[in-house]
Amino acid sequence: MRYPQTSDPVATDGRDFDDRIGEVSGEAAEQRATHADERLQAVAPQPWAQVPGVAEPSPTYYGRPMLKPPVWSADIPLYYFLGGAAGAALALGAGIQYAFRGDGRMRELRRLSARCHWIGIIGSTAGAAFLIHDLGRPSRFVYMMRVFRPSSPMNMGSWILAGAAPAAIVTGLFINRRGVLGAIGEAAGYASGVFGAALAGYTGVLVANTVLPIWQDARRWMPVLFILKTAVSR
Amino acid sequence: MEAVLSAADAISLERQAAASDTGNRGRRKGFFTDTTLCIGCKACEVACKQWNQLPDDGFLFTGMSYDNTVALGASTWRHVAFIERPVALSTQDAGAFSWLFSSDVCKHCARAGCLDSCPTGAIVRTEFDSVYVQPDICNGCGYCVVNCPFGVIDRREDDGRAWKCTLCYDRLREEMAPACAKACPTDSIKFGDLEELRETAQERVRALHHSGMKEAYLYGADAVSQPGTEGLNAFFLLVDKPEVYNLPPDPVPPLKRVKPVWASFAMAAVGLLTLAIGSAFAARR
Repeated sequence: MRYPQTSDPVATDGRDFDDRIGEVSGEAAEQRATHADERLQAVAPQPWAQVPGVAEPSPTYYGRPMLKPPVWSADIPLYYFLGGAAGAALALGAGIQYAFRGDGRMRELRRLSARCHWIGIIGSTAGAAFLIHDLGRPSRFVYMMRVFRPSSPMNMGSWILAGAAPAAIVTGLFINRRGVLGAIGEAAGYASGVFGAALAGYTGVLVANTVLPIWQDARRWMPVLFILKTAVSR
Repeated sequence: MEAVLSAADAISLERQAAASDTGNRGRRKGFFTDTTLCIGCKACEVACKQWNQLPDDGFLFTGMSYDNTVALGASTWRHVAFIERPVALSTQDAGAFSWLFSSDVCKHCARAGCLDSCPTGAIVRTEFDSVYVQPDICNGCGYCVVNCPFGVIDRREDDGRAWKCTLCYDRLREEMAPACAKACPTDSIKFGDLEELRETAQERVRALHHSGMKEAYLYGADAVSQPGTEGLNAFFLLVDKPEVYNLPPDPVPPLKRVKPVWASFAMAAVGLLTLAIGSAFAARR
């Protein structure tokens, strides 16, 4: 059963369909639908103050938008902040690691770099959780890594995030160990720095790669703005 | 010799014959919507809803002429626009008024913003050259919604996935024309091979110009007239500016403009790493 009892066609999901005499198998058969009056009211046009159309030619279609608004919720700006802070923190952590490599004074900055790694770990994992929560089908989040697709900044971002979060975790766990584990931690530290810088900036490309005029017009500066924002946030 | 065919055999033979004869498969298929023939009956909307078993969008009274459908969306794959103009068509005898109808649909762009931006590969190009969203792959990220320069594709919130016209992929596979084209009583919606449709459309424009309707033109028929999308597989014959029909005058998928953005991304990312290393070195001193 794709949807609950529909023997009363009036009470169906809007297909006006009686499942005693047929089965739903069309292209949109899987589409789940519930009647939501609020949603309807939101899309319903407001009454006119005066009747348009007959006075002068209108360059628009009843003032209706030509484009669809983004369907994203508050999860996305939250992720921009968390992911950006994590990315910039990981970059700084890697910067400290590089500047103080083989230097005993590293200990002085150990607290700062540990804090960087923790911000990186928390930001990238919590950010990823917000992203997954925003999906229409959160259980399918892993499909983001079904393909490697440079034409889609969101796909690139998924790969960057999938690199940054584990690298941050490995760095946080092993960076101050000795021996092989320490070496792994140091390598992960550099990797997390590179992933972090990409994580801080790819969101700028992501919003620039849309048809929304205000984002597209500012596209050249979007990554720069996003990275500056992350640099300020740390 | 007596040949006894079961019903299943007969159907499969018929399909084989159809496939080898006028097969849809592997051919570029599309729509040519001639809005001068549209009478605004909305049979295409109804046929689409019925065949694809789409749920309704609620029953609104908008006051926008006879258009109570408003726009294309996740469960509205055909939308008839009604335009009341205070100007006459050039072939009109009297009255400073004309009523335009246009059945809008997904354009199945040769360069589709939704397809390029889809991070999961759920949106694919089919063997009919149409753009198809695989509902079993789509995870509802909503990126295609902001990558369609026509505002066609949308996410259905109670379903969680993005939906749009499939060019009746299921019907095409069975050698049938899409439901809307089949139902259109005036042949305003023509379905067929793209090359043939383009010829038909150009002939139609010539005929209209000859009969005095000089304002008729083709919208998105090829890559020359619409370089952004590189031509639409569902193109239109219009008699007013595209904006009047709520169509963009110069649609460009965002991917075509994103290269310099990646360049500034690379520079900014390198800048951030330099800043990080630089401030760490500064702390050393």
